[in-house]
Amino acid sequence: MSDDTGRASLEFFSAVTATISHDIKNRLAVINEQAGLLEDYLYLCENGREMDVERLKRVAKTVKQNVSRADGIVKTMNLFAHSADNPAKQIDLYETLNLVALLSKRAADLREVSLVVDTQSESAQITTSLFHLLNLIWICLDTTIKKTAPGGSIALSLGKREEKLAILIKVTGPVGDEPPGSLPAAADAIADELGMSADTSAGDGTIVINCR
Amino acid sequence: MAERVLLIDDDEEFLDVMGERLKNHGVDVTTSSSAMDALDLIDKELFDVVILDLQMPGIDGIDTLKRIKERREELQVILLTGHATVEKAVESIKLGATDFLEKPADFEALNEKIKKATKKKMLVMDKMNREKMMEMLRRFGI
Repeated sequence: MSDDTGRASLEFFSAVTATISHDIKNRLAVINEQAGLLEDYLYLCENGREMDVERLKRVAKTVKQNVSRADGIVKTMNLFAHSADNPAKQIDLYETLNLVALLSKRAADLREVSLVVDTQSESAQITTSLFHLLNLIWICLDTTIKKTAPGGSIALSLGKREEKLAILIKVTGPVGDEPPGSLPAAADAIADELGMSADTSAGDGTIVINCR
Repeated sequence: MAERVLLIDDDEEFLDVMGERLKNHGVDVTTSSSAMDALDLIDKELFDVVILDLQMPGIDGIDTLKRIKERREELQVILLTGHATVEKAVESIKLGATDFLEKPADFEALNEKIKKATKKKMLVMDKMNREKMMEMLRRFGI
């Protein structure tokens, strides 16, 4: 593994774990205040206020919803954590795109950009390092998010380029002021190690990752 | 008199539940899920304390803090965030934040900080009013 790839892997790992821990803390904060709200209701009841059963039901329901959302975040974290288990294994590219979209959601939300994984994409299997492929797509997507204006949308899809299987990252809404530039050097380094290539040669700023 | 608090967070569920809790504890609370809307509210209404999330879509918390302080120097800002780092805490205090709390926060501690921040705001207002008065007296040669 080159220094560029190693550094990029660490940056990817740090950014994803920081985002996930932030998301979990946000859910815990809501659950914490919901528990506090139940304490407030109990205090009021103990001091003569009539119990509002519908309110209690509503809080109980939202606690469950937040536990479910936190569980979803932890499941994503678990998928990400296990992506480094094998140096190479057969992976489903459609599932991989969905996972990257989940890992990048917070960054996109902060930029007020929406991510759409093309559900029309036909599923395709390839054998590669899942962690490094996630890293490569994440860098390409992060570059695109930074170029997209607030309110914009980015589509992730599978396609073919010169008969080769390709991942396409395309802005479908307004593009930001920043002119489309080349991809970070780390993207080339990771793509090289995976035997792939990544470029913005599509002309409209679409990033194409040629898989094989 | 109840403390007038503006709670700013992009998480609507957090706004709802924290807003209700603060109301239950006698705080006069207004909520906003957008920093831009919150800045408009600050221009139109009077608040004692702003509780501000650090990571928000559009303008981030640090930038929002700067803009609040430019508009209303006396307004006390408590940062409440799930993304706490020592660097961010130091930066925000340097920019005029009154306090910095990490989510999930202890409600009693937050409530206490709101009360302290409200008292501090009154003291800052008194000082600003005294300074204005002195300036007027100087202008009129008194």
